[in-house]
Amino acid sequence: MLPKPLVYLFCVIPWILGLGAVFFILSLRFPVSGVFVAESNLSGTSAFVYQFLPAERTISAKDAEHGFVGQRVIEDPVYINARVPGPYPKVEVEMEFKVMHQPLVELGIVRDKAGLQMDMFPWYSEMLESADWQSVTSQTGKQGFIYKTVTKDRLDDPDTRNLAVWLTTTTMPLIADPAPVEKLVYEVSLRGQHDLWVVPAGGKIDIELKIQDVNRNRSGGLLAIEISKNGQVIKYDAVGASGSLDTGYSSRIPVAIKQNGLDAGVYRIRLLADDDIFIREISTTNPRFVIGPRLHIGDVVGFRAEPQPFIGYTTARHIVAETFHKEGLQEITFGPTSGKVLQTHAAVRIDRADDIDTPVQLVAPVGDIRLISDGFFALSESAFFEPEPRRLKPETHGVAEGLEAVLTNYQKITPLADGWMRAKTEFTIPESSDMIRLVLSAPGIGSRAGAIDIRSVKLTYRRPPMNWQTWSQVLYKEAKNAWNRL
Amino acid sequence: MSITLKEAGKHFAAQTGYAFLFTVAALIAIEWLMPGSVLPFINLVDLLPLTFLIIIALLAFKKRRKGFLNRLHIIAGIIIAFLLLASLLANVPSYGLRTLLLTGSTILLILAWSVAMDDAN
Repeated sequence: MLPKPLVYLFCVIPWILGLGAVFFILSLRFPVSGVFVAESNLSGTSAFVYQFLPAERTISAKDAEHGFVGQRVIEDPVYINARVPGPYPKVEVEMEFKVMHQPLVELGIVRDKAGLQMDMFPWYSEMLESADWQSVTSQTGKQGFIYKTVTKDRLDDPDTRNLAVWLTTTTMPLIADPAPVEKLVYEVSLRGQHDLWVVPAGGKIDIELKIQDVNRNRSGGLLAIEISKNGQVIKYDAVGASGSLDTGYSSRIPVAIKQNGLDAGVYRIRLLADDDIFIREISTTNPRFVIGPRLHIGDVVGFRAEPQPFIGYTTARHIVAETFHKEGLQEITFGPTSGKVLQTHAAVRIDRADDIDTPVQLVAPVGDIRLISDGFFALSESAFFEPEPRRLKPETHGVAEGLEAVLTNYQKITPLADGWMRAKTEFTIPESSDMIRLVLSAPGIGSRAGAIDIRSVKLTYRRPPMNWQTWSQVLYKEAKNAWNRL
Repeated sequence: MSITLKEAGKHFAAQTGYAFLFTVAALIAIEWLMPGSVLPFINLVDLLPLTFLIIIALLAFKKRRKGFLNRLHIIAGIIIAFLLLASLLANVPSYGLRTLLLTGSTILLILAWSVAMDDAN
């Protein structure tokens, strides 16, 4: 026989143990401090931080074989998924890594489920890590890096020459030409989508294009025109190319782009079309306009008997040229340097490392070439201006190219022992997300046989500390997320 | 104010079972709120149907009392049976006539069970 109170006391023990387990997990789940840390060495054992994917672009590193535990990234881009431990507005991403033959790395977050919207941030730059480059904030609050011989006012200077930009927004310079000039006519063959950057003359933009649809199997394509200034759209229009039902190309259709009463500034005209729409002629009374950074010079087969050479002017330092037809094989002259395009469907990189900071001539003797650059192209030397600083790229040689400053919110990394580095940045988490996807981009890593070794990823989620006011909000958001999960 | 060792053992086992069931149910709820927070690579929500089955078994074998408490017993049984059905249907990849027939049969079974259990009144 046992006394009843003693039995009841024993029966409480399993309840205490069960409740203890639940409260322990709850305390982990709802940290009072509002800070939740998830860390992984990328060996696949973390429930919150997964490994970098796709697997064919990475190598799982084992200590004995590679000297560290983690992952080696050998192709670009790769992404990593992380489970969000509740309604947190922000996450700080910290990574320990080592680079080999990779001068520039970017990290971003995917904003939508389709994976089309991405916010990319500077992650590592070999050039800016040099002691010659200093991180500064200008008097107007612009963040960036300046070369040791330059003052921080350089970031506020409207002269965009010798200035680069790396993943940050810039304001276009407020420039205007006093009056229009006599109509300038340029015979070109630009294929598909292009961006034109124009300085208004006498408060006007006056451009006329002659477009042609070369697709013989449809009744006409479409060219959409978007005019914007500093990202704000001023006008949107669309023009149909009449097309052709016979065996020839369509006729050349004039498209007028006219705007009056414009303030000083740089206006971007986006011409959105598929690759069957050609711009055969550009005529304008605006003395300054450029195209870029993408320039697709199309072929003239069926339009002209002779190949149409392209001559342009640019301050770009790096171009990637590619042709899709054997008629487009040629040697491209790019200022004092040149590059041969010897194969179709093979991108050829041409870099110049001279100290010329005025526009250089770019000549493609037979046209039919697609160019992607870090700068802009003008069709005559006098028309050239720089609408915005050129982009910082892995190939950028800094001071050897005359670069004086870089507009960027890049933060220098923390050096660790044996060449390892630690970098961190903060992202806002898309609302009601159970998962976040981070993208690591190392442009050109495959072509230069480079690698990024990563041994640790630490995610620190932050929200205000829990108190009597905030717990109900947290609970409401938790319930909302759980409902969405259903 | 004293009970036999056998009775004490039965009582302790029952309380341990209830405490375990409560803990599992609470952990499933936490897991549902934040997947991966309880056990790293096992989704505890998958144990939900089993948990409901255990509760139904407990309700079926528990000694019933007459009157209002029996009705309460039946209502609890119906609720848990429907929750079990909902958790199973949530895992059905596609819906069709077969699913409709199975769901209808299960609902009829629950109703038959409810009527049979009403005998204590």
